Amino acid sequence: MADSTRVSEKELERREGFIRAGRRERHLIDPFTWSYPWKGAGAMLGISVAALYLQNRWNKKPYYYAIVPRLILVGAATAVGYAAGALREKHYQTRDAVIEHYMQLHPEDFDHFNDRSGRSFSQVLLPWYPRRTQYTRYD
Amino acid sequence: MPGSMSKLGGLANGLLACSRTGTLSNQVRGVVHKSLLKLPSEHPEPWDYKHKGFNYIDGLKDDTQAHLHQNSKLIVIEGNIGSGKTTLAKQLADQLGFVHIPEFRMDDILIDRYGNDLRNYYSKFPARYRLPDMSMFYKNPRGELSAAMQDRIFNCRFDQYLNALAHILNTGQGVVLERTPHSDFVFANAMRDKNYIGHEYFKHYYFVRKNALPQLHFWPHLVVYLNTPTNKCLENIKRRGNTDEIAVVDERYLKTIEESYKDSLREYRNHSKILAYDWTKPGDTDAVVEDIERLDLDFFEWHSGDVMEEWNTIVDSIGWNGWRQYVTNKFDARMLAFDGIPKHEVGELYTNPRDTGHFLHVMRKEVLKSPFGYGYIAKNGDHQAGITAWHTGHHLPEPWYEYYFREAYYDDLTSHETSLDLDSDSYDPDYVHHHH
Repeated sequence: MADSTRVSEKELERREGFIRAGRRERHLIDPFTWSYPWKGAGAMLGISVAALYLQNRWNKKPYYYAIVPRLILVGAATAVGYAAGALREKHYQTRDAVIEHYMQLHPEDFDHFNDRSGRSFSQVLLPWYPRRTQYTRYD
Repeated sequence: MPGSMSKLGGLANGLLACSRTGTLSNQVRGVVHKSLLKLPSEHPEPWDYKHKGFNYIDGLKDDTQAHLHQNSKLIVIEGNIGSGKTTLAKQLADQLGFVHIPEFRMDDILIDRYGNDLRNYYSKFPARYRLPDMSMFYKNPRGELSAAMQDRIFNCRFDQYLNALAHILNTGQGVVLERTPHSDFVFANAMRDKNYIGHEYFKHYYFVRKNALPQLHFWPHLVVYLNTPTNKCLENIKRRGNTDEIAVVDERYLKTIEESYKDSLREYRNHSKILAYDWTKPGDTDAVVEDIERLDLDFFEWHSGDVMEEWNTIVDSIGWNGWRQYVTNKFDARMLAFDGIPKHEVGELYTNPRDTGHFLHVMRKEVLKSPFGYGYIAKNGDHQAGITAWHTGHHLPEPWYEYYFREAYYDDLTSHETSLDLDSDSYDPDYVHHHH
C-alpha cells in the first residue's frame, strides 16, 4: 500500500474522536455541541417562541396576549423536546453497548477492522483490459 | 278545558324552572307585571355575562334553570317604519321589568370603544369600506353599498338576537326586542322592489337567511305586531323631519314592508304566540300588558305544533348550560350560520383584497395609530388585559362582545400587504385616489 494514503495512529484517533457524537467540547453558543436532550429542548423552545411572536404579529397582538396559557404550552413543548432528545441519546447508547458487547463476544468477526488503513485500490479492483466495441468483429 | 290545559302546562312547567316554587307548580302563571313578580329568596344574582362570558367551567358553578322564572321571556315588537314600536317597547319593558333592546342601528358598530367614529375616516378608506349608515343610505339609496349595508345589518341582528337570548339565560330577566333577523327580510323585499339592491344579492340574502335562522334555535315567546296603516306611518316619518328619509321611505316602500310582514307573521305563527294590534291610533300599553298577562307562554306538548318547542324540549341542566354557552359565546352560532357560504357570484358584496390591505393600513396608521388591535393599545388607556385569554373565536381581551362587526372582525381581517408589512410602513394615503 502506498505510503501517501497512510496516516499516523494519532491522526486516526483525532479523526475518530472528532466525528463521534458527544466528543466535541461544549460551547453555550454552539447548539451543535449540546447534548441531545438540550438540543431537543432548545429546538422546541426556539420554534415555540418564534411561532408565538409571529402569531402575535399576525393577529395584531402585543407580547402579553394570552401569555400565561401560552407559556405553559411552551414549557410543555420544551419538555417534550428534552424528552425526545433523552430518548434519542438512550437509543444510541443502547445500540452502541449492544454492538460492543457483540464485538467482545465475537472478536474473530472483526479482524478486518484491525488493519485500519484498509486495502489499496489495486487489491480492490479487478484487472481491466481495454476492449472497444467498435473494433469488435461480428461475423 | 282551560283547567286541564293549565294542568298540562304546569306539568311541562314542572320539568323546567318553576318547579322550585311550590305554589306555582299546580297552576300556570305567565308573564306578570314587575310588581307581581315574587321570586324566592334563594333566587340567584344575575350572572355578569357581559364581563365574564360563560364557559364550561362557569357551567359547573352556575345553574341556568335556577335563573329562569315566569318572566324569563323573549317578547319581540314588530311593525312598519314609524309605527310606534320604540315607544311601546320602552313602556312594555318598564312595566314588565324586562330589559329593552332597541332596534339595531349602524351607529352601534361604527363607533368603537375609543370613541373613534369610522365615518370620520371614510375619505381615507377604500370605497368598499365606507359602509353607509341609515342617514347615508337615505341620502343615496341607489349607492353601490346598499346591499353591503343590508348584509351587515342582518349579520348584526343575528348577533343582537343572540344577545337577547344570552341575557335571558344568564340573568333570567326577560327581553323586549325590536325586530329580529327573522323579520329582517321585509327590508330586503322593499329594497329589491325599489331596485336599491340587485337580484344577485337578493338571492344571496335569502340563502344566508335560510342557513342562519335555524342556528338561532330559539324563537320568540311572543311577537307583538303593531299594524299601522302606511299613511299613518308616513305621517310619523314626516313628523321626525328627516328629509332624506321622507324622500326614500315612500308609500310603495312601506306597502312592500307591510305586505312582507304578513309573510313574517305567517312564519312566526308556527313558533311563537302573536298579538297583533291595530295601531292606527297608538294604543294603551296597560292594555297590552294585560293581554300579555293573559297569555300562556309556558305550554307545550308533543305533536301539537312547534309553538314554544325549543324552550320546552331542553331536558336537563346540561342542556340548558349548553344552549347558554352557545348563545353567550356566539362563535359556534356565527360559524354555522355564515361560514362557508360562497359569495363570489354576488358582485355587490365583492371586496378587492387590495382594498382590504389599504383599509388595514388606514386603521393602523390613522384610526388606531397602533399595530395592535382593539383592547391592546396602551396609549389609549388599555391595561395589560388578556394575559390569561383562553377563549376561542375572537381575540378581544373581554370574553364577550356585543357585535362581531364592531371590533372583533378587525382581528380576523388579513391581507397580503399587511402580512408582510406588520407596521404598515408601505401605507400610501393616495391609494384611494389611484385608478383601480
